[in-house]
Amino acid sequence: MSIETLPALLALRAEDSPGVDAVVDHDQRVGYAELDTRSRERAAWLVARGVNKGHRVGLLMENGCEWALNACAAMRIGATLVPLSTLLKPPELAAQLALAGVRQLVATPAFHGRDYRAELADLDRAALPSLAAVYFSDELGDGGTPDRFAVTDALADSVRPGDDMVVIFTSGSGGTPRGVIHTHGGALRANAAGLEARCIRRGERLYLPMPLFWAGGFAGGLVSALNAGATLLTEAIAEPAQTLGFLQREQVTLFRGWPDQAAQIALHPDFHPRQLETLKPGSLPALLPASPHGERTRQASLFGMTETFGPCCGYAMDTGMPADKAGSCGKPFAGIELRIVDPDSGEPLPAGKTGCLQLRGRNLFRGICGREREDTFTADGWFASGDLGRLDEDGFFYFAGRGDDMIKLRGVSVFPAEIANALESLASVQRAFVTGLELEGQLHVGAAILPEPGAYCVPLELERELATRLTSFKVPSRWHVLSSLEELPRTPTGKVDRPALCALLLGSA
Amino acid sequence: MPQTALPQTSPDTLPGVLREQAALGSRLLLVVDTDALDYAGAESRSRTVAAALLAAGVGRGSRVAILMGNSSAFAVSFLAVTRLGAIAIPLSTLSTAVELQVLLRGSDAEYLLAAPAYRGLDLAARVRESIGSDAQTALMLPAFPALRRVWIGLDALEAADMSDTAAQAVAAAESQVSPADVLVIAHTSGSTSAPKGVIHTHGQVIRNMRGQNRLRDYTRDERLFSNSPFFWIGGLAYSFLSTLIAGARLICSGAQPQATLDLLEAQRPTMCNGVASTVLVLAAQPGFAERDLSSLRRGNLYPIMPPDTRPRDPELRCNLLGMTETGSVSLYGDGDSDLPEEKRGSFGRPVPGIRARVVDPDTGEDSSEGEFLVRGPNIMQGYYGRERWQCFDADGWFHTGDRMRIDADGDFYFLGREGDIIRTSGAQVSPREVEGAISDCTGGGMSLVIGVPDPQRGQVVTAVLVDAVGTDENALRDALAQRLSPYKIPRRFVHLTEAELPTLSSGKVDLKKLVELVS
Repeated sequence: MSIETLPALLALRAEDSPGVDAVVDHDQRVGYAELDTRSRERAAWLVARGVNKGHRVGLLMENGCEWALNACAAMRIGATLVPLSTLLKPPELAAQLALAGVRQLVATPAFHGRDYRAELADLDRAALPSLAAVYFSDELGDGGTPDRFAVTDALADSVRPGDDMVVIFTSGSGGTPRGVIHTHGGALRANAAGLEARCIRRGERLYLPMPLFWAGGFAGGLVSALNAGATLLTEAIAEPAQTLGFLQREQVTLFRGWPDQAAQIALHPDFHPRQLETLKPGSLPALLPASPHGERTRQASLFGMTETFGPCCGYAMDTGMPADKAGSCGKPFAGIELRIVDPDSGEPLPAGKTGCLQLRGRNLFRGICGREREDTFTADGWFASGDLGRLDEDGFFYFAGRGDDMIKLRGVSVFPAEIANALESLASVQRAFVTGLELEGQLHVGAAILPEPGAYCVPLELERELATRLTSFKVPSRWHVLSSLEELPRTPTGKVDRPALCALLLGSA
Repeated sequence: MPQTALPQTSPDTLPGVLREQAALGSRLLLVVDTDALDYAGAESRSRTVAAALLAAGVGRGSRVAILMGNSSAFAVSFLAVTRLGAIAIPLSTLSTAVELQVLLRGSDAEYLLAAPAYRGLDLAARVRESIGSDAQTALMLPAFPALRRVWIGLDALEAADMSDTAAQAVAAAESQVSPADVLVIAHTSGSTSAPKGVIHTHGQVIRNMRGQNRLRDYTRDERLFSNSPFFWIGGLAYSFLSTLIAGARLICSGAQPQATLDLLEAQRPTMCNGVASTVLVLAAQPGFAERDLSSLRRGNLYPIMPPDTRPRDPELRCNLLGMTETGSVSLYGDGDSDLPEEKRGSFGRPVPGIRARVVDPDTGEDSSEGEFLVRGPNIMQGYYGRERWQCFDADGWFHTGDRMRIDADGDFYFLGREGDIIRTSGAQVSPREVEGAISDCTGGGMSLVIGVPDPQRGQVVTAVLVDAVGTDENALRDALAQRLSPYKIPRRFVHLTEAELPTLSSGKVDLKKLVELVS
């Protein structure tokens, strides 16, 4: 039975793990007892300034203990936290503040070359009628009169699993950002359901180089740590040399994030494989010493999205998956149902068939800001995520790209992931990234490939090899050989930047 | 003089509807006895109040309770709150101080707008008693941790002068309101003592009422007489909001019977709607036969309608089935002419935006008789503070707890409650709530509260007191009146010993037999 509200979780951890670090950054560490008392003090201060249950409270701040304190302060009194990306340009920020109906905004005055004090002063407040106040983090206070504390505590007691906990904006890699609403119960259960597979247990020290304002860092990092009674190690800015020192000092046990983030550190001249000796299996493989058998475990690539509050499919990351499930994302966690439907008819497809992914279940998001339920869910509760994939007979999920990546060739839907898998099965190819692209009004298949170390890839040879494995029209006709993974264009969240990839492929004709 | 263009407002939101209907100017929207509100006044008065609310901190998503009877003050308050995108929480004026506490706490109300008094009830005193404080501003009450401010009456809110800046702030707030935003949390009596707050959005309610206005041909030429209270969904949506959307006139009366009849003769309503038993008193007035109510052509208040419009038998007129969860009426049929005999007792078919089925509760399969299930865009979002899966099944169906039959044509017939809610004179009473109150008032006395069929009220709340001979019924009634709304107080008390209670083979009390026994 998992804890189903954030205030109840904070109280529980203060009791069962008072001295355990909850969050550690370069300058500060906050234990669980301290997280509870300090977030209560901050909440009382906010309550005195008009913050109330149900209010949307924006948080625009770099990763760190202060982020966690402010977030917990808002959520513990039943206010709905709205984490905002520090990367947003002022008009984007204004649009998200309006869409989510943010009432009070807590902001960092300046970070990473941005002067938020000045930028926020320039906001057109008349166009943001909901926004009552902006507080900069250097002017926040704590505490208040006894009646404020009494009300603060009573508000915490009033929070129910059905109350909204957070609005998380998607990063926008698939179009306009959406404000995804999660309840306390839905979010905490969704997160708890994946902790075991993700090996996040009591006492672990988890490092995750992802911003706390998106689902990856918020759900996968902060809430995972609180839910498990683990420690989150976080940095405002990740810079390999500093990160190495930080992780060594803090005795990191789990390193999660995008594979390249681990790879970058592994490539750093200061890094040697025994350096992070506290790291456990289940961390990103690049940083782990090779196993005695000389092979790495077959980890499931976790699959999830903002709407599922982080990973919703996975498999025990320390032991690895059964051999016949290679390439799968594992199985859905409890509280989430998956099904695959035909892209054209919408009818459910049998096991083994690739199609469009739909999800439903108790732990799914509640809704999207400003969007009516019928525009988000089918009548029987399914959400079309826009992802492609298939389920096998045993219920393992195989991701096959985004729906908008699907290439329509000669009236047939072609899945880029299918072509990429075929390419990666060739001895000379380590990684392949496939996309549809338009050239002189014709649709073509393009592929960017990273050769295996020491291998040499010649597009004509690859085309000949592939022709034995794929229908001829699926064989790529535009190629780019990557010199390293860094050359691959990515969005700020680390996803492949599809338009830039097309440009790259078209440029290297 | 050039005017600044107002920001866009979605037509499927309350501010969008209000902006459009304000053009009806001096046409009357609402007449409650001597209290009248025209369309221009509804817009301008609610704008003034909205500006004052905005200045006091009310904004999009704020929860604002409204404790008022049917009146222009209710209308102005509701419109002011919802045009800002704040959430209106109408509360029953029949609520006792204890019931008000439960409602205010359960809905996390941040603000309360209350009438000073209504029909002889001192609501101001009731509010003070309920929150245990004379203070009205800067509230910090641990028992009501979200509550910040109380207004008794609208005077202070209407007194403020409307500056251009304030008007622009209201318009800016209106432009942010989306059809997906919550319009209202309307309360229903639950099967447990905790009432449930039913969430409906702007888009849902407005499209639902537009569709239902088309169904019942409710247009701006009509005048509707209905006394359904605005603090419940029927009066709020099916009377008040549907009138606003139609551009018609709504007539209500809380006056003495003769004055109500005067009002009806003067206002000449064309339609009527409500619970027939509530107008029996009008038809029983001396001189009723000489009254000219010939303007009434349609509706279901048969006792006061002209003879040529009345059914041969009320059971041969299509009934309406309404629920808070379906945003008022969910089953509808043409109610203006008599049904063929084989359709006796029909409730018609689902309204647009609602799909309905009848399911065998044991197998979950479609069945000609069983539990009534509904889903669709016009159904509630859910209950306030509960997760979706606690309100709907995995396929999105809401299990109403009503028992229904469906015929080969797809017409529905109401058979009773799957559960045990008592429906009396249009109100719903939870037996468990009344049993709890009796237990509290008698120091743990056991009782069974049931609905006994009654030709006028539908059901009558009846309490079977177990092994309680010698109980002073008047004292018990007085004690219950401190805790329960008048309509929840048992009209009848019956004494039985535990041995006299009919039981099922499981040893539980057989409620069906018990009802037969005391009927």
